[in-house]
Amino acid sequence: MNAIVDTWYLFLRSLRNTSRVPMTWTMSLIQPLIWLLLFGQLFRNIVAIPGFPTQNYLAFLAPGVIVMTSLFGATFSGMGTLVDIDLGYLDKMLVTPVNRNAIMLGRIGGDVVRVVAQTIIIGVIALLMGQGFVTGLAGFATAIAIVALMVIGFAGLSNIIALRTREHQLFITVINFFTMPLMFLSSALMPMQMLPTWLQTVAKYNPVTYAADGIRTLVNAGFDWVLLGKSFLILGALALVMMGVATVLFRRRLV
Amino acid sequence: MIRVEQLVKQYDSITAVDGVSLEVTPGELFGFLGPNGAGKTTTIKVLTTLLRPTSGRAMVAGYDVMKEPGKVRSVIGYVAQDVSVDDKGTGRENLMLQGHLHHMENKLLRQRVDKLLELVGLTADANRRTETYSGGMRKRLDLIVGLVHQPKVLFLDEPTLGLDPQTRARVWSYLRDINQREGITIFLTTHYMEEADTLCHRLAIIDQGKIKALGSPNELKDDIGGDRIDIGFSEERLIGESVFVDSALRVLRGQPFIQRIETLGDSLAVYADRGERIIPQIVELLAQSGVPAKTVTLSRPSLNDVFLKHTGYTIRGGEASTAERFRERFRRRPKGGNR
Repeated sequence: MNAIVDTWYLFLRSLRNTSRVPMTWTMSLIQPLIWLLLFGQLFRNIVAIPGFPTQNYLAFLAPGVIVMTSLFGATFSGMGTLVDIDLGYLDKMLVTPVNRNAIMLGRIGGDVVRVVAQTIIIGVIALLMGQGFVTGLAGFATAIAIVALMVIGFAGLSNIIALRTREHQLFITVINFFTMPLMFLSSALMPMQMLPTWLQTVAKYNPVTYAADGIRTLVNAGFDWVLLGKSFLILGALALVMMGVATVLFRRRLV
Repeated sequence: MIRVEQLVKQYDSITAVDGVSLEVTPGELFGFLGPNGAGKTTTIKVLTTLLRPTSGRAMVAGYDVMKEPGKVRSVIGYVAQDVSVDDKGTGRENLMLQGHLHHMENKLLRQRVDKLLELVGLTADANRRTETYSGGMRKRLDLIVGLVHQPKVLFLDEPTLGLDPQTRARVWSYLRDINQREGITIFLTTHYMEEADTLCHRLAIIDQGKIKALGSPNELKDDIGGDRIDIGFSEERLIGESVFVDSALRVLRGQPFIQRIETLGDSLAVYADRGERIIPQIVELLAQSGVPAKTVTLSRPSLNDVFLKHTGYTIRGGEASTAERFRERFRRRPKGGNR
C-alpha cells in the first residue's frame, strides 16, 4: 500500500517538475513537427521505390516519428536519477521510509506520461496533415499502450546505464551509442523488406522494430492481432526485464 | 538515543572511520568536531542508513541501523552538507512531499508545515519556487524539511558551512529552539570551533577516523589545564623590580586553589581551575595585603587549544592536508559526479 502511495507522490513530483519548465512543452511540440514536416517533404519520393509498403510517405513516417520520440524520451530517464544523486536529493528521499522501488517507479511513470502526451501531439499533427489511424481512436489507444510499454523498457535500460556509469558525460556517451543504432537498425525509418539481409536479421532482434510495426499496422492496415500480439509480448518482456534489473540494481547500489 | 560501538568503515584501502564508539543521550545537542576527511560525514551516513559500515554496531532511538533501517528512517531527520531542495517545487511543496514520504496524515502535515515555515520566517515565501530563493532561505528550508515528521533525532552535516555570519547565528538559534522546545536530540558535524563551543552540550573530536577526545566544551578545556588569570599592578619600581608584583607573589604563593604562578614583568599569570570563582578571593587577599590589583583578566583555554593538544595541529578555515583531501575525494567517489 505504501509503495503505491509513495509512487504516486513521486510521480506527481516528476510531472510537476516537467510542467514547470515551459521549454519542455515547446520542444516536445516543435520536434515532432519538424520531423513530420521536414522529413515528410525530404523523403517524399521514397514511396516511388518498388516494394514500398505505403502509398504516401507520411503514413509510413508518422509511426516512425512516434517510435523515435518514445525512444529518445525514454533513454534520457536516467539523467534525472543522476541529477538527484548529484544534488543529494536522492539521499534526502532515502533517509525517509519511502519504498525504494517507488523512487524508480515514480520517475518512470512520469516518463510514460510525458511521452504519451507527445504521442498525442504527434497523432493530432499527423491527423491535421491528413493522416489518421485507419483503426480510429481504438487503434490510437492501442498505439499508446505500445508506446507506454516501450518507454518503460527503455527508461529502465536508461536507469541501468545511469546507475552503472554514475557520471553525466559517460552516461550521455553510452546513451547515444545505444539510441542511434536502435533507431536505424530497426524498421522505424525504412521498411523491413528494403533493408539488406544482415540488417534485417539485426532488426528482427531489435525491440524498436516491434513497436514500429505494431503502430504502423494500426495506422495503415487494421487490428492485425498476430502482429500486435508479438509487439505486446516482446515490449512487455522488455519492460519487465529492464524494470526488474533497474530496481534490483537501484536497491543494491543504495542500502 | 544514539549508541555507536566500534564502528569501522573502509573504502578499499582507506579506513574512513576507524573504531568509533560514542553515546548520545536523549535531548542532547552533540557535536562531531574534526577537519575535512576526518570521517564525520561517513559516520553520519552510517547513522542515517545511507551507508553500510564495514564492522561495528550503531543504534539510533533503540533501532539497529543495519537490521531495522526502516524503523530508524521513520524517527530521524537528515540535513546534508550541501543544500538539496527541489528547485522546481515551492517551499511548501518541498515540505509536503517530505511529509508524504513519511506517510503523515494530511491535516497534521499541513499544520506542521505552517508551524515550521513560521519558525524560520519563510511563511511569506512558502508558495514561491525555491529556485527564486536566496542561499540563506534555501538553507533554512532545507533545515525544516528534515523536521517535518517530528523526528526524535536530527542529523546535520556541517549545518552552517559557507553561510554568512548573520545566517549562521540564525541557524544556531533555530537549532537551540528545536532542541529545547521540541526536545529533539541533535547530532551535528562541524569543523568550526565556535560552532562546537557555543552550540553543543557535548562533543567528540575526531581525526583520521578516530575519536581523540570526548566531553563538554568546558570539560575538554578544563582537561588541558584550567584558566589563566592575569593580574596587573601599577608601576612602582624599586631598581627594576615591581614592588607590588613581589608582594603579591608572596601573598598568593602557597594558596591551595592556585596551581601555578608566573611572573611577567609588571603582572602575574595565575593558573587555576574555575577562575571565575577564585578571582574575588584573589582580589580580596591582595587588597588586605595592601597590594591593590590594577587589572584582572580571566581567559579560558579555547577549543582551538584543546584541538591542538589532541591532534597536534589546528583547523584553519576548513583546510585539509593533501592526504585528507585525497580521503575526501575518495569518500565521494562511489557517489560519482564532480561537485
